[in-house]
Amino acid sequence: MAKEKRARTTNGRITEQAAREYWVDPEERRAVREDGKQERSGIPEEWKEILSAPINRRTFLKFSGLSALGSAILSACWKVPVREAVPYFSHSEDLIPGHPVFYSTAYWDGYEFGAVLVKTREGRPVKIEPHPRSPLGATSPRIQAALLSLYDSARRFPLTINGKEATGEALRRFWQEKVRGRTGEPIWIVTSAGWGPATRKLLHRLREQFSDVRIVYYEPDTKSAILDVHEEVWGKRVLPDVHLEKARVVVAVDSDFLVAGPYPAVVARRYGQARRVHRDAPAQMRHYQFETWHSVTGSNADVRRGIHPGLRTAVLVALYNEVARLAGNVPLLPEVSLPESVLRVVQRAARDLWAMRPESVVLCDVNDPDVQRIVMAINLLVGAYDSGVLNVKRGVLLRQGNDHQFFEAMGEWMRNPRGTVIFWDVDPVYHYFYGDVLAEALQKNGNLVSIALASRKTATVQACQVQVPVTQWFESWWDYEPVEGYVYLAQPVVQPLHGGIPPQEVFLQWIGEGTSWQAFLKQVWAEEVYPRVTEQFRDLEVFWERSVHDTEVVVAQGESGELTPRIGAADLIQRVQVSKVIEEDKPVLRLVMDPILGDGRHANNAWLQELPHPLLRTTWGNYLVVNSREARSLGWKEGQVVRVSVARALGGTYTIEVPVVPLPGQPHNVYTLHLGHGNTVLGQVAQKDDRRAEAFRTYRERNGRQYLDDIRLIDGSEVVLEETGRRVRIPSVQKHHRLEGRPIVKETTLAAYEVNRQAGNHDREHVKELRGITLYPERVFPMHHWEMVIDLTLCIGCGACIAACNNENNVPVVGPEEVARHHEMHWLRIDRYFTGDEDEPQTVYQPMLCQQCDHAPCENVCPVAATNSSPEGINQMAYNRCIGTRYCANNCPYKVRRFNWYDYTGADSFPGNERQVAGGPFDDPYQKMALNPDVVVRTRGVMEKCTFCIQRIQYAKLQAKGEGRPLRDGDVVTACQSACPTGAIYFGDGKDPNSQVARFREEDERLYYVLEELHVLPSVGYLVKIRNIPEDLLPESSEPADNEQHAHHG
Amino acid sequence: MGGRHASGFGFRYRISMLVAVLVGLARMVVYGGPIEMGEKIFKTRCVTCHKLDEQLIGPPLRGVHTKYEEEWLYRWIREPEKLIFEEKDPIAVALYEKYKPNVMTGAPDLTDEQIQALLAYIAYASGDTAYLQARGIPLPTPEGPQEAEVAAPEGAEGGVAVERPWWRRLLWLWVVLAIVILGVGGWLYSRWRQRALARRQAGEDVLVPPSVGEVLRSWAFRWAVILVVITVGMAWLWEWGANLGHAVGYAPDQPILFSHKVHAGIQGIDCQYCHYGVRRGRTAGIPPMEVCAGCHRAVRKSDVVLPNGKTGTEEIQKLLTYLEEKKIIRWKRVFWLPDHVYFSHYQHVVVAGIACQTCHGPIEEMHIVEKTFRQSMGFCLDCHRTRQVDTTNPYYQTHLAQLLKEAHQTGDFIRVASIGGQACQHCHY
Repeated sequence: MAKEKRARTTNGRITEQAAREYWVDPEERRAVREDGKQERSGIPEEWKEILSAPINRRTFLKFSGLSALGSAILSACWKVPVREAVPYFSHSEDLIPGHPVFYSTAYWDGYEFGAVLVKTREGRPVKIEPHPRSPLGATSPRIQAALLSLYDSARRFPLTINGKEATGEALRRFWQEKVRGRTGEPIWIVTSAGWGPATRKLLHRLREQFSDVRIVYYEPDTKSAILDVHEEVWGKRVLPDVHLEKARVVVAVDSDFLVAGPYPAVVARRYGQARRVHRDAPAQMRHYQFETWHSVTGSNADVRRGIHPGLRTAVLVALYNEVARLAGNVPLLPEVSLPESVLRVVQRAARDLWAMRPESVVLCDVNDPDVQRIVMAINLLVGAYDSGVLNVKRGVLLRQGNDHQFFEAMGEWMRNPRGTVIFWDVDPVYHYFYGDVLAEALQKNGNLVSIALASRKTATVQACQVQVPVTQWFESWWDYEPVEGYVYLAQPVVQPLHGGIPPQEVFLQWIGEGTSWQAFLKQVWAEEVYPRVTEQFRDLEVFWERSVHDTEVVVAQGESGELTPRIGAADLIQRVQVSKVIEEDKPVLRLVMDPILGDGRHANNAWLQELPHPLLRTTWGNYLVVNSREARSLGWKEGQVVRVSVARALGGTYTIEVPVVPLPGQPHNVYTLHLGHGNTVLGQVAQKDDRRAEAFRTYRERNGRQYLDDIRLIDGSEVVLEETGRRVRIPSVQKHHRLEGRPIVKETTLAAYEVNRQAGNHDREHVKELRGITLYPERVFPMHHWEMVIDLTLCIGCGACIAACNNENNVPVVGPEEVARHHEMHWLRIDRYFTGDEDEPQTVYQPMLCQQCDHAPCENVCPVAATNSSPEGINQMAYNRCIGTRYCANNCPYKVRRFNWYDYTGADSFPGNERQVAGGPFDDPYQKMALNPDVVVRTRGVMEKCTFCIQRIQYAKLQAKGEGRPLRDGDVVTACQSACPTGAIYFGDGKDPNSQVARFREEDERLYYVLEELHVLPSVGYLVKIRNIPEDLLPESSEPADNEQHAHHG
Repeated sequence: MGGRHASGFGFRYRISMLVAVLVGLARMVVYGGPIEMGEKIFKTRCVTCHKLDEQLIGPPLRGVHTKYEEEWLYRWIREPEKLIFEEKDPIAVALYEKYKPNVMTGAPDLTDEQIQALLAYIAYASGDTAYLQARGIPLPTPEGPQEAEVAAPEGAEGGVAVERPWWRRLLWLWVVLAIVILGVGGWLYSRWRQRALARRQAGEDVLVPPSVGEVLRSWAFRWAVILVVITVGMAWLWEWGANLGHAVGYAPDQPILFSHKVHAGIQGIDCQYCHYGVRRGRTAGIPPMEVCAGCHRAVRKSDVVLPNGKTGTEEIQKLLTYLEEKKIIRWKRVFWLPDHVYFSHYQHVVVAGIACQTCHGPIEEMHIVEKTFRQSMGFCLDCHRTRQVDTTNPYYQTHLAQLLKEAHQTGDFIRVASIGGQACQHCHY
């Protein structure tokens, strides 16, 4: 019996059944037990239930949780994981682990120039900062995000000759046989301009050795017509250096000078200087804009008119005639008709131009020499060149791209393929509208040797017979001369990451020089630069060291004396042939440079792809921009997919399907696509942005020369626009565009501000009175109270601050699908609001970040006190304490908290939690090196937000303590503040009465806090936006000075 | 009165003398006298290559203060390389020939006063009081120069204080007490039960307490046991879990048995000589191999017997092999903090002046470095809550002006925690 029982008890269920037969009720059970004969089960009733119950989800979880905990503990107990501490072999004085070293250098990627400081940690670059001392030291979002492009491992490719991997020796042999052997045949070097003396010398040597070397400058963002007209008038093929800080009136016609151009951030800095309003002597440059799309620059203008491309020349003609009438004694152009609303502004602009001469200027980027002649004539009449607003004495040597020259070379490669073409870090196969035809020609023609020297694997590289990986900025020595007389010596800050040798070294080998590039560079600088600056330096060695240290050397100009125009305005205007190209009621396709991606060479940069377009607020892709009112009448909603196709002159059609984004202020009948997208060969990230618009570009003929043209008529024969009936979700970051009647952004006009410093901010008086009424105890801050002030007048919306913040704070990239679900992680966003008429809206950009409230609503609702207020007034977030309830985000009135819905960073210990963002910075072991080692990477399920760059605050405090001195105003510079080209962001210790932020708080009537009436006591203040709108052009509907803002649905 | 001369200058003279004496006294208080100062310099700068009586990398220094001319000594200490290679000074060249390839590391940053103090210390250590008297250098306080004080953490006995809960410190008492109570209680209980049983058998209606067996079999008792087991188990689990990853007692075998006891303890080499990252950076750093080579190219022998039974010479030989083969030593890391903790050595060692041993334990007594206690957040905060801020630093004097005034009135101190030492984001960001 006992034996049988034991056998049965091995199965709990049988035992229990047996037990139930006997013990039905507890009383009986007790009786039986007292009897002492029955064996006791020993298992409590409750346990039996658990043991006998079929395994459901809850029990499974209970047990698995318990066993997981147990196993985790057990396994963790066996052994301490061995961590190694690996020392350096040799001792370097500079390199102290954990201590940053900054290197001064320059950035030039062929599209954009900037003098920069590169912060390195343990020898790896981790942050790019604008150079504090150089006049060209300002950063755009592209330069701020360039670090990711530096580490991008997709740019790696092997040295290849005719499809086979080769060595450097093979390349030298190839050159000897295939290039040097064929004497007399031309060698084209297609490149971008801006090289310094040593590189120029190198190309010169090449020219000496080979009889027919042709250097072709190729730029996708072409300034050909401007260069031609400057050559015609000034005898120099340069662009004027635009010194907007000296200007008082700017009239821009189709010029996006704040975000596009060879150094837009520098121009933006100068713009900011002229736009900044000082309390004691209010003055502000006035900015008019006429444009055929809605540009970022236009959105910053005081008076803006969106015009159809058919009216563009007419606007300039009218502007010229008005100025000429005021000037007198100059011929007029044939009158043209303009709509009343535009004409009124043109006349007002002309009067201002004349009244403020010579501190006034017309800027225009239309690639048409006739248009540029009119612009030149106006600028000559108002004296913009005399006052130095436009400087051609020290002209810009970047953007020397010559369309005509390139088209001629193209023709020759096609018709008569012979000789050698070298593409040096230019990518015409992608940028040029017949890129595919060019690629085919290069691959087919055995007679034409094609060599690509490239720092990344572009479409052009793939089309060339010889593919040579070379270094790029920051990887080797470079010298530049972006502006005449300003020469830059850029030192390397990191070893070449993906192979590659300096391109100059390749040329040195080819011309048979035995020296290294560095030695050659040093020698040329000693011979050509040093003699021009001898008096500044004790000896050559000092000169070299200072040049490396400062990066920038200013040399005396070669030609002294006054530069005078060869032709006056009167003669110039005689040469203008005004021709109307497009009827003003016809629909047109307008192609523009992307304000974030630029010309597309950084298309594989996930930071840039996820950076929202300032006006559209879209990310990850190319969208067709349509006037919002027109979109409504067409029945197009945001995300409506439209097919755009073009019949191409060389046969075939090119088609893309692109979602629509309606935008107020876009001119009617104008459809805008952005260039710089669809460069899919660059890598995984770029493949997510596959709508290339470059193929829609075309050219026009003027005076027997060809010019790139970015306007196409949608007439049904060439360019066709069709609906597809589909609609997609757009990864846009701003869906809510209303202020709900609350004074979140405030603005006024300069005229109103001159009369009353409180203009636009009257309601603050009342809010201030409410400040004292509170149940909360007063907070005391013993040492510091960190505060920020943002001047809305100066924010141009460019997004450099966001790019800098992403880099500094390891903000994850989430990908287009996640952005579409509002899961973007940016700690800092720039909200965009429109006001006024829907067709002529005025725009306000408002950087919005954690307001670091002293009575923060997020803190009260956190169940685990993971977010609380620090004794320095910072609303701090302890990631390791956060359990992810997201109550704080729900209770934040500013909506600035960001939640890690997935493990975007790969920081989680459980691989299943990861969310792979193709090519995101955390997907690529190389790009992980761009992470800031001073900031922790957050895991899944954790809330995060702006910290006021706490790591920088702590660092500055520590340096001050170490040096035994008080902290000075300006010691702590946040990442967004240092990146801002216009200087719109101020940061400092509000407890220091002499700090800039404290002075703003105490003295400036423009200061207000967003939602101050909630009594959350934000630490981020805003200064009322001031516009310099002339009285007679104020929008009739509302006077922004007193009326409350109301925004439009965009 | 002797005219303007005496009265005018006399007053100023007296004032300036007073100031000079006061400054001198203040310096004495801060640095100690010249001999103490010299000792400090000797122990931080010279001791890596020199001893008083033995030849190390350089010659023994006993009596060196009179061996050479004073002026020459000053120059030699500051710029030995210049004397040897540029000026070809005969004494210097002779010294170089004797000890080459090592060249003395110059100390151009030492002031005249510091060099004088250094020589005074050497004189004092050599017993040359005449030298000191001739220069009017006061002898140090009766105790004399102390061996470099190894700052032990406060409250620590024989090294590091390990905070134990009070109940665990008296564990044996608890056990004895429990046995006594149980014994006496059990005896009393059984007597009571027996008497009650006896009375019941006598027919009295009395309550009979249950037998021990009955108690043990009762559900109440079982639940109580389960409750106790769970509670104690959880407490133990908690304690165990909290210790996880802290690896107390971790003392891995290193590729080379580098003895901190020999270097920092017996030889008295300053920690920062090798871990120089402390002076500027966040991390102390593991010294580059060339720092080891700096001494051990010359120091190739050591008679110290190490815990692994080998002599120092054998371990040095391992290092020399590494150096020869240009291989990197992959040390095993003993101390580390998780990634989400930002700890700066510069802040703690340079700014706050905290001894290394406070957090690392008595390293200078260990042949094999061992992690002797938990470097947990509680450990950090305990210190932050008690330690006073160095209010002599101008940074704090400026930014804490208000708080300092209040503290002065109340006679209180400003502690690290009251100025942000407990704020989450001062360490976690």
